This record gives sequence, C-alpha cells and structure tokens, in this order.
Amino acid sequence: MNRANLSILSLLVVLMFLQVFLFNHLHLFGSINPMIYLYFFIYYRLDANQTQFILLSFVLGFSLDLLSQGAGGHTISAITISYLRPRIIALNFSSVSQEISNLNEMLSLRRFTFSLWIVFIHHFIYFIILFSNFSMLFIILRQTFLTGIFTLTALFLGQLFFKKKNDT
Amino acid sequence: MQRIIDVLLSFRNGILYVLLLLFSIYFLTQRSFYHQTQLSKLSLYLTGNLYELRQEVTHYFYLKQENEKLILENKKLKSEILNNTSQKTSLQTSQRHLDQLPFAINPAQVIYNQHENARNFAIINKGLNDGVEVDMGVIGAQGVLGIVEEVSPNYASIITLLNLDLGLNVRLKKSTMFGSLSWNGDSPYKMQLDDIVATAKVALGDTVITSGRSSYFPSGIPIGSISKIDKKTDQGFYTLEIQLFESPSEMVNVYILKNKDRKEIQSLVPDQTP
Repeated sequence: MNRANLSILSLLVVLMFLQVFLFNHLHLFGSINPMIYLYFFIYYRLDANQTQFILLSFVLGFSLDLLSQGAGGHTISAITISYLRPRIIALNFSSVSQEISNLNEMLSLRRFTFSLWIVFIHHFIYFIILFSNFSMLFIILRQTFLTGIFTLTALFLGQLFFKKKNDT
Repeated sequence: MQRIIDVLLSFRNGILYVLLLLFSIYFLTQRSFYHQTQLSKLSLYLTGNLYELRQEVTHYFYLKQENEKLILENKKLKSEILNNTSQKTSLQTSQRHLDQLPFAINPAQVIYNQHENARNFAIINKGLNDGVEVDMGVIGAQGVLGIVEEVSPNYASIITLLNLDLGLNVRLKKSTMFGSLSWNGDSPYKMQLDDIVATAKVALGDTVITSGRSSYFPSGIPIGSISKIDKKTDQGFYTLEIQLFESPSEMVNVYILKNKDRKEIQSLVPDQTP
C-alpha cells in the first residue's frame, strides 16, 4: 500500500468520525446537520479511477449509516454522487485543460460551482430517500436548500482553516 | 465470450453502481419499517396499473362465464327477496333494511390474483378514492376472498384466504360450533377447519359459513362444504377438510364490505384476529 492510498484511507476515517461524532449532533436551527464528508467527493482527485471511487464512497456512506443508525440514505446518495461525478466534472471543467487533476489549481469560481452541484445533488437524493414521499416535496426542497447552504459554509471554513495551516 | 467480457468491463462502473444501489435499497427496507411500507406502496401502485391494463384486455374473454355467475347470484338473491315479501313488499323497504345493516357493500373487480405461493395476494381496482380502507373484508359471489392489506389511491391489495398467515373464524351451518379455517398451502380449492369440538355432530357435505365473530365479515356467508372428516383419538377436536364453493383464485367480481360499527367493536376488543 502506497502513501497516496494511506492518506485517502486516513482522510475517509477522519471525515467519518468528524461527521458522526461532531456534525451529526449540531442540529442547527432545530434540524440542520452540515454533511462535511462531502469534502471527499469535492476534493478527491478529478482524474480518479471511477470503479475505485465508487467502492470507496460506498464504504464511506455505508459506515456512516451504520454508525449514525441511519437506514441507508447516506449510502445511496454517496454511491449515486460518485457515479455521477465524472459527468458533473465534464459539465464544469470541460473548457479547461484535461491535465489538471487537482482542485486547488482551479479557478475559484469553477471550484465553487462544482461544489454547488455536488452538494445540492447529494442533499436532494439524501432527503428524497429520508422522506420517501413525494407529497413532502416542499419539505425535501427546503431541507436540501438549508442543509446545502450550511454544508457549503462548513466546507469553506474548513478549507480556510487548513490552507492557513499549510502556509505557516 | 471475450467480447461479452469486454462489454461487461466497459460498463463496469454502471454495473457496480446498480449492484451497490440494489444492496443499499435492500438494506434500507430491512432496517426501516417506514421505507418498507413506502416501497410496497410504490409497488402496489405500479402493479395495480399494470394489471388493470391486462385485465381490460383479457376480461372480455371471460364475460360470458362471469355473466352466468352473476345471473345465478341474482336469481338466488331475487328468490330470497320474494320469499321474504310477507312483511316487506316493496324494494324501498328492503333498501331501508340494507341501510340498517352494519355492513356497507361496494363492488369491485379483481385485476390480479395468485394461488401458487404460500402467501398469496390479490389486487382489486378500488382504492382510497372509493372509500376502501385497510382491514376491510372482501367477499365473492359464493365465498370469502380475503382482507384488505394495503391501499393506494386507486387500488387495494388483499391477503386472500390462500395465505398461510390468515385464519378465518367460521361455524357449521347446522350447529353452532365454531372453528378456525386456514389454508394448508396445497390445493386452492381446499382448506382446513380446526378446533371443532369432537362432541359436535358433523357429516360429510355440511355447509360451513362465516361466524360473524370477527368484525371483518357478517355471519352467514357460505364458504364451502365438509369433504373429509379426520378425528384423532387422542385429541378433543376434529380436523376437517373443506371443499370451497368458490376458490379465491377464480373470483373476479367481488364486494368490499365496510363494517360501519367496526371502530366501536374494536374499541371493546383491542386485539382481534380475523
């Protein structure tokens, strides 16, 4: 096992524990829990081997469901977003050179729209599965929107934090 | 062969995704009762529409038989009304009489029916919009079809008598002995009647009717006749084999029974089995 694999695994474990033990208990404004584990889907290598990526996100989603007593919402939304990710990448970065493999080299606006796509698609699927009832569509959309905003904020803050740490 | 493998490999991400998705959905339904019911509601909605389509095509072929059955039933009902005319002379009074009964009757058609499994279901083309609710009884012309299990806006699924989980409280027409009628999973025309006390007089050909002890069905609906008597010496009960007048697997025109007093009865008897 090489260094890169090891760092991915440790990132998965850290994200999982942060999500389960910290962010799942925030309950901002009553019911909003930012899902910071989406960091994995946004900042993972853009040219990743997709089969490996789907398997990794399945492991992530499944362990989140097991640890947070969820029924399966995290698993389904995680594998769906990992399956759709190449298409979202193509949509956002089609005009940019294919050689860029790291998000940090990207323009910040593109990076931001890419995160928007990932977060809102993921949250929409997650809440559809959570409520499983299309007569609750309004609640699903509201939850998607609000939780999405807080997820994006949390990811942005976290990124600032790590960036500073790297600079010093 | 090599080509097939190549094609499979080129779609490996999609295949992997679908497999994992199926696994997660299975996991979801196993862990969450809410999602289980949501999923079965969806499946009832889909199968309901599908079999309605098939029914619309195929039921023309059976119209003649069905008509004959309905005429027979009508004849029977007519004769009963005529025999009762000593007190009630007009249809109006018999209508009023119907309104006084605790059961409201709503006709429906079976659009899907099974008899090959251990736990069989049927689907009828009436649902929530027609006032059908869970736990209503459904009868055919000459017997019982089952009990409503789940309802979607336009369809309802029914646990039929041909279901190992369902027991029906019945009695003999000639005596007041009660017993429990259940299916042994064998022939869709035969059922088993247990718990009739050995001191009762039973004979081959005796008619079995619903007892009216449950709130699903009124008493007196004919179900079948005794076709085999088995009395074990060391037990105080008969085991009887009942030949059904009409198997649930061949019912098409059925009637949904709504017990208007059900809530009142339920409030007195909290845990009741059919």
